[in-house]
Amino acid sequence: MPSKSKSNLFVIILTLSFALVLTGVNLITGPIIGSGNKGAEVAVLNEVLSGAEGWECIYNKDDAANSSLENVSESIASIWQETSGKGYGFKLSTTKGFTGEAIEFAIGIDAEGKITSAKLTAYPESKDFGASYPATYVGQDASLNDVQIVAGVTYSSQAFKWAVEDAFNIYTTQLTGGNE
Amino acid sequence: MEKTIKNPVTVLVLGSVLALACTTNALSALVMGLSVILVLSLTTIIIDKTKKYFEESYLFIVTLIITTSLTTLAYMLSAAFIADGYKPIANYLPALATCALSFGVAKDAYYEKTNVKESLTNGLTFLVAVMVMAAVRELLGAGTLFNVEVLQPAFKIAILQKAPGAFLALGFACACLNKTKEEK
Repeated sequence: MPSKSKSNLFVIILTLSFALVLTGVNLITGPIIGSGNKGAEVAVLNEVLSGAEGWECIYNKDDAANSSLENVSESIASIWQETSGKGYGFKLSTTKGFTGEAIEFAIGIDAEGKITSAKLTAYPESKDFGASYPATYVGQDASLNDVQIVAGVTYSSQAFKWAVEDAFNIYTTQLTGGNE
Repeated sequence: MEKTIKNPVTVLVLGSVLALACTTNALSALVMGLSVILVLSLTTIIIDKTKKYFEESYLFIVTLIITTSLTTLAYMLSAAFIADGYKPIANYLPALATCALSFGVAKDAYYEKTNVKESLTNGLTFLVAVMVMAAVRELLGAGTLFNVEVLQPAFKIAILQKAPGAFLALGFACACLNKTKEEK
């Protein structure tokens, strides 16, 4: 039977061995995980603003204090600026739907102030407002004149519209210098 | 067949937290299943090969060091190479480090003869059970399988993708397998 001191020594060696193995694995997987996270983060933005060359995050709800933007609505999770000046990408998350769970989506707004695309990334509601509803926002400007609320899915479609209005509010008042 | 029926998920309800959490989609179930196999089999091998170097009273702390390290290893590998499957269970995978299954196999490996085969069987049956549950929940709840759209949105049963759906699926799985066992 091993003594207490031998057992202690074994625990130390075991811990050091695993620390070495994990450090080695981390050296290999760390960069892959980092690039994967960044790639996944901007993948949806590339979908909503085609031809984007790069993205710079100018607002993140979790780090709002470090952003120059003020009075950003709760529904805006993050705002991204396309680096060549093609427009902005907004990641939106609203809990004003029927169930109160977060409906998450992204929209792109081009340099002319029109929505280029809208893509749902999370839709927890049991009643679907259909894939065609986000598509009705394409080409709309800040007035959102041609967007309707979907009958039977009133709460969710209204929540979606409110979140887009919040994005346009920031776009017109702070991103384009209030010129719109 | 008997081994499949007597698997830890559907009979002992051991590791059910992991099973409930990872079965919203098949890819996440695959990640969790492979992680369980990695942790269980390597824990058994390491304890078996090193048990002569530490006292019985050290078994708990040694097991904890091994399972937490192996779980971290499983996290690193899955986050790097199967990120789509890892992300939905990112909060639950660390629970594997303190899962009763791991401590069970560690105890067996310490007090009994080496039993890597049984650990592998346990891990594999866990994988099969969670994969079947996940496939049913993903197919009927989201209309997809391995994130590929299979069913029209109108055929979805949304509750299967939520927490109560996990209990329903586990309940049906247990009931079906127990019925099969009774008939035998």
